[in-house]
Amino acid sequence: MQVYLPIAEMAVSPWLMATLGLVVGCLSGIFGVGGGFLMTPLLMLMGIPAPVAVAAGANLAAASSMSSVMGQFERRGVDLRMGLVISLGGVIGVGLGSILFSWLKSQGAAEATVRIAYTILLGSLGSSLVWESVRAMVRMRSGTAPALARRTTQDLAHRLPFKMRFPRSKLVISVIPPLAIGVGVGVLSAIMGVGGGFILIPALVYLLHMPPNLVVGTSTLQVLITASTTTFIQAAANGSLDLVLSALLIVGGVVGAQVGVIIGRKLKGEQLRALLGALVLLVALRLAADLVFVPANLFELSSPGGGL
Amino acid sequence: MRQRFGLFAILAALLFGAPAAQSQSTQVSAALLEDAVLVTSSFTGAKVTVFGSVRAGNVGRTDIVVAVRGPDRPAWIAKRKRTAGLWIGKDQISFAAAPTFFGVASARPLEQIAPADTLSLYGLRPRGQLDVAKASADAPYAEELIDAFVAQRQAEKLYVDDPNGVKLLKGGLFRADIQMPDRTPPGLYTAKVMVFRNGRPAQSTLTTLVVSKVGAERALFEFARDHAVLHGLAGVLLALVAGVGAAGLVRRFAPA
Repeated sequence: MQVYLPIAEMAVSPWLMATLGLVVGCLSGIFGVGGGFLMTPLLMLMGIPAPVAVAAGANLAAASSMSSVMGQFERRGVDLRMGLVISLGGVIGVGLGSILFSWLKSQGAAEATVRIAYTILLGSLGSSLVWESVRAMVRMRSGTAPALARRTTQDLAHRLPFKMRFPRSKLVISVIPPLAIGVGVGVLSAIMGVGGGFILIPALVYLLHMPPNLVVGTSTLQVLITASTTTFIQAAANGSLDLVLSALLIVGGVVGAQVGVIIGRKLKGEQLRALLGALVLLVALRLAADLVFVPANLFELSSPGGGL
Repeated sequence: MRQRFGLFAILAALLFGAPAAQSQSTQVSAALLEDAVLVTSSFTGAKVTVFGSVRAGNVGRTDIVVAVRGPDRPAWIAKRKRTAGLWIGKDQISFAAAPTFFGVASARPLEQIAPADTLSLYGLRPRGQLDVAKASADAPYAEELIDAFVAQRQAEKLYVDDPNGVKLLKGGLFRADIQMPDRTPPGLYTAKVMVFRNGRPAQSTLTTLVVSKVGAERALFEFARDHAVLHGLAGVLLALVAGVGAAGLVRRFAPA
């Protein structure tokens, strides 16, 4: 069976699309990421025009994160205030990032530099996440108490001005670091075309020292806000949102997200970070492979349908 | 060309008399089995069928070539290239217009029917139909990319060349079938029937067919085009409602 997509102007298998949504939605439920880094290239691989793939990925991320954030709210796993501050930074960051992106494009080689730098950043982030959490797990098993380094350091977040109270996280820190993190993630997502949830989580853990049980929920809230905004902008400005494609992906995605939340509850903080690290490494490897190996498709062209 | 035909006609008339007059008046008429293709939610492509009859003399060989061409749209192609061992950067050319679909059917391979330049001149080769944008026409890699563009669209069955697509029936009747994939966009398509006599174009006729979205597909497409803001809000709403719905269902039937 095939279903015709009115905006992408092509037919797809509805079962395949729902399954894709299920898998990506599950990741979103476990980690609180949007999954755009996986969804957009997969859709494009199936011949769906790039703008349509981006809008559909964002719409799926919005639905999956809505699905899982409901459960997180119930379990009091979301720091609403922190999520909103970061999202505010994110919106500013996307704006800055778009300007930066067009400037980089005009500079030619600069775009490649960003691409390489990002690959290295993700690679080192992923490996340090894996390394740190594996060490913690080993220490746990051998019975030694984990070193409590948290909040004992006089770090930047406590020294900067504009202090704000985040009662849910039990933090009283300057608003500058969360805002800056939001801006950074926003800039990256505008340049690289991915949501950046997988960068946000380590930032919440290591830079803001948020309690581990709030990290996934707060990140999910941020993904919900960013993805909804992206969906709306893509639809209103480019007309590239395909509601039939979205519906197919979302049916699988919202179910997958619920499954993901259940899996996520069973995982310990270190296990979650180790898996996330592996995921980030995977993304880094994919980006690196794009740079190093002879591409499968040497040529890319605009499609006759929605693509340009 | 016309001059050569004239010369040929006079020579033929002198040499053969009556049969020559008959061969000169090659006549073709053709019609589409269906002149509208409706794109519904189960659209997976369509077959365009042209029926026709050709009346020609019995001197030499008659060939029928049918070409269906979709609406033109701007397009581009880029080739990734390696710099300092890394795949960064690309060469790109743009087309001001390129047919979205280009299907040619004949009863034997085109290159056996007529010389390459004739085929190209009469618009039976996709390469000649591409309108390369001025800015990219002079690029040193333009030729390579144009070839790659045609090859890619051939691989996607958007540009097809079927040497068995025309069936010759009795009494000068023929039937041509051209398969269009699901990705062929809506718009006005032209179907051209050309008759070749001994490798020379003798007669042609043109018909059109319309590919259009109907029903829910059309409603959604027009909604997206005419009310972009509402369409965007609908997408966000769909996501939120589906998310809340799934969470509610799970809580009800599988309480944690």
